[in-house]
Amino acid sequence: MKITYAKNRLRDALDNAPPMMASMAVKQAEALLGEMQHECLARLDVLLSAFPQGLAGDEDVRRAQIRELYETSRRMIGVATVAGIPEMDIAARSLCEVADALLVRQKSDWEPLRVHISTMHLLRRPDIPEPAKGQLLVALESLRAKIAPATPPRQAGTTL
Amino acid sequence: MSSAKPPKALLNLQRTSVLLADADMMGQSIVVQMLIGFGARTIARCDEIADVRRQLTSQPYDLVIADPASFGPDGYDLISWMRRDLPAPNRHASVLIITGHTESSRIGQLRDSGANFVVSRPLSATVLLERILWMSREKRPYVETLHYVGPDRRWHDVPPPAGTAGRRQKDLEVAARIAAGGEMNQTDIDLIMNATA
Repeated sequence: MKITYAKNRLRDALDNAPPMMASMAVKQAEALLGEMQHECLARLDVLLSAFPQGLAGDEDVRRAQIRELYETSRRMIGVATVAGIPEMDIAARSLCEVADALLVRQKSDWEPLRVHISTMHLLRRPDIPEPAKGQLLVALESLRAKIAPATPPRQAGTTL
Repeated sequence: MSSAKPPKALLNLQRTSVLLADADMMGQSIVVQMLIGFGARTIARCDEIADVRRQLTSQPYDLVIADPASFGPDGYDLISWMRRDLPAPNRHASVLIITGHTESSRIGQLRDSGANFVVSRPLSATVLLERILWMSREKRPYVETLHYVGPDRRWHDVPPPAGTAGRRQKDLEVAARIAAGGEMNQTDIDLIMNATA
């Protein structure tokens, strides 16, 4: 095993910059993120509309569709929170877990995917009451646990 | 976006050269906004893997933020390529991986890629700032073995960031006791000696 003690250039770069309070940095960053809300909502709508209405009959095509669906859902994660719908991020992660589990097991059930997509469309509605959002997420979590039991949900910002 | 209480520390990315590698433009923009808020002025944005490699071979970066999954299967080799094949200084640049979701078949590959830290989206400004701060304080050496090249993953000198679990059962316990002014016991010493042997 070879061990190298390398210079931490990130530390040097930070040390050489004029000091700024971390609280100020966070405040500025959050303000800039706030300006992106509408852009992120528009992006979310594009991604939502990209979900299929159903799966094809051919097994290979179905699996390709699930793969595409997984990618679409993965792209949503992070965007939804900035768009002001953090619940959508949770639903998108859950959909990724389910799609990944189906692909790993070489299954192509449409129903759990359909439930996720329908729920995400509901979460997008501006008139949905807060308690209903929670109930929808509980239902999704229950479904996810049945399809992908080995992958418990992780909190945002946690390590892998 | 709501966030936890920001750390009482100083941070300014004004002099930090950042490479942001993310094939998804919206994902990229979100991180860019946060970095600008942190004072960053030099941010190279890459949405193609070839461009990332070109950037890394042509100029030095202090911080690399990457979402390997966004590039498809090729993206997972990016950091290990950087650690194995690039010369210094980029070979040892601080690397933060951010990921929306990682396929179960890729988790091991991502974990062993040699990144300094891996975090999941959605990423709040506070979490991103804390991870950057943490990486800037890192003193871990880089190790090269047959199967892994990257920062030493044995947390013996520096505790893992606040709010995150260490990789060993005793990590947080030892760090908390020492931080509280307590002394290390023989088990802790054995743990460290074994890790450095």
